[in-house]
Amino acid sequence: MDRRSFLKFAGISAGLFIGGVSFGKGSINLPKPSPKSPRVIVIGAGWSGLTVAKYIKKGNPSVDVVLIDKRAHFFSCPVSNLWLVDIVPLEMLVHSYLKAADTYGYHFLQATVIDIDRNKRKVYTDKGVIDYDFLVLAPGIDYDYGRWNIKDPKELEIARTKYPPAFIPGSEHIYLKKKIHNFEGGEFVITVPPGLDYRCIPGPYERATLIAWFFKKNKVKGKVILVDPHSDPPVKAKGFHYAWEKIVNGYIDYYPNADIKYVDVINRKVRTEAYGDIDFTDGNIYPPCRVADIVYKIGGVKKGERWANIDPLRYNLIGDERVFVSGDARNQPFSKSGNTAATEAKYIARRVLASIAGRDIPYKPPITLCYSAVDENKAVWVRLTYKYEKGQFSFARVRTDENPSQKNFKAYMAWAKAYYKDMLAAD
Amino acid sequence: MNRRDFLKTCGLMGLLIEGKIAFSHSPSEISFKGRVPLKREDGRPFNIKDVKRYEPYIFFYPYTSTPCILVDVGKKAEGGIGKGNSIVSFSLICSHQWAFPTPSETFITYYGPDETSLVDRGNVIQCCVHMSVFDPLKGGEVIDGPADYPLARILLDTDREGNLYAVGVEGKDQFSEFFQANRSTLKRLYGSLQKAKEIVKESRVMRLKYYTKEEIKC
Repeated sequence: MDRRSFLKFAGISAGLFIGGVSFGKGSINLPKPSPKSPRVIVIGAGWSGLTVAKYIKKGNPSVDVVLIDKRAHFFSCPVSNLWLVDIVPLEMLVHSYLKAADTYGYHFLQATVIDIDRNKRKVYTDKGVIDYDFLVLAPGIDYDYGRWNIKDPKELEIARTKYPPAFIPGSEHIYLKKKIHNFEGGEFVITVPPGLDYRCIPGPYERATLIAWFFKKNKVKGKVILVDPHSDPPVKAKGFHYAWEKIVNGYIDYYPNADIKYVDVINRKVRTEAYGDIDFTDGNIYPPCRVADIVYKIGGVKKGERWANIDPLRYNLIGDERVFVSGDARNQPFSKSGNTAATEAKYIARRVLASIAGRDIPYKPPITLCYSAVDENKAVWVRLTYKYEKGQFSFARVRTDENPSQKNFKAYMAWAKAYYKDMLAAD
Repeated sequence: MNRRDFLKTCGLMGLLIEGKIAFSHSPSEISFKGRVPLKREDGRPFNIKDVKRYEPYIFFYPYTSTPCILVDVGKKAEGGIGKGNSIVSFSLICSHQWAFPTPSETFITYYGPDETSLVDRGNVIQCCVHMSVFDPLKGGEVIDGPADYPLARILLDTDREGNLYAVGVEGKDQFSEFFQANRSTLKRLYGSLQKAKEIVKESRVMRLKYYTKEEIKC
């Protein structure tokens, strides 16, 4: 059975319902390059998972690679802020998983992962059960509303549906775009999570700047209210302040050092230590982040922590040499961004191949390169390289260009398109 | 000759020299062999004396669409030719994700000794798409950034008069990935992928700054 036939089969397979969740009955039998080929399953087809899958297969075509994601198509979180305000088309962000799988020679399985049995090395999905020899978890993030005291189920539902954070691609972004375009005036609040372990550190600042630019361009009688627990944007602060003063002046109010205690999504108030209650007409509530549920479910998170408990250099779950965690799910203090995930993923692919071959490889840290647009044709960037010494990570080199320019914007677009070509064989 | 004519000429020159090429699959060896004369824009041979120090030149080799950089780096360089062994040439396809110069812009280019780069020194080749930095003094090796491989080196030779020839490609070339990743751009520039993949029998050399409208540096 080839991949296409399999997918067709998987789509119509009947499901069982056990313990409140349903999963497909029977084993998923995908063809392997040879009967003895080891199988690597990669869960999560974001920037990390796609890169891991491609480079494992490229590094050793005899390895069977299965990439699993619940989504049918790729939707890029990087660059999505530009799509929200019509600077780039949707076609730039959405790509085919099957084309990537066909081009690079691995299997793509559209399925929802229900559970993993690490002893039996089995992944349970809604389409059936599949065995692995090695597993790479790249499931990304989930939102941790509890840290802002949004715990009531009704409030949680409103927060997720009415004010989606839109840092997990797909429908959240679509709904946010609709809200931005339908906004008729008032205060459009955007919250920034605390700390540095949220997805895309400059993302909320870029988004706030571009929405303000969109309001200004369309003469909307409203402004963006940016509520930030940090004292200043942690990266590219000079570039963002330049934009707020010179490009979108009057369309954005910045509230730094706002220790957010609670967001009242019913009465539309952000409760802060520094400013009291900040009212809003509409908004984009981005709460603190944590690793996706599946990592918790398989016991991959230490009590009281929010990210995968992995070896910082080898990326395997502590105590399990066959399960690796990559991308934003990791616990190392790297920026949670597409570029970081993709550069790291090439190292993880080599590490998995080395594990299959029973050897070791030297550690190579990832690289963060992050562009942010400040209007329809100007951008700034920051580039971070890392090193590991005496049990600690630190920056090896920090470079930034915080002067908004067209050449940076062109580089931003080239950066993204090249990644889509590499990960997804995009045209 | 303008950029359009230059591309057209390269396309017309693209004929396979049967019996003079060979391919190798080993990344550490010579991956392509084929002696191709380099020509000035006026059609006369491009001589080693035509090379101005620190000025990056572009020519296409071994395929009509695969750009190469030629530069005198001003000091002895690994594999360099000329009096000071300072003239070197590399495939100007970034080994990371295959960025390359087009007539409208280039993100990958040479930085002279007095320019700054991401590694706080000049005399480098840097790609601003994902910020990989390569050392033209050391065979195109990666100094910094996400690239896993050095730039492929273009082997040069001269005749008795000092006229220059490209004679081979050494190291892991990126040609198949380049054609795969850039197929829509190449179709636009050359009319078809087939034309973009034609092997040249001679190649015109021009200053990179005249070939491309904008050199984007970072």
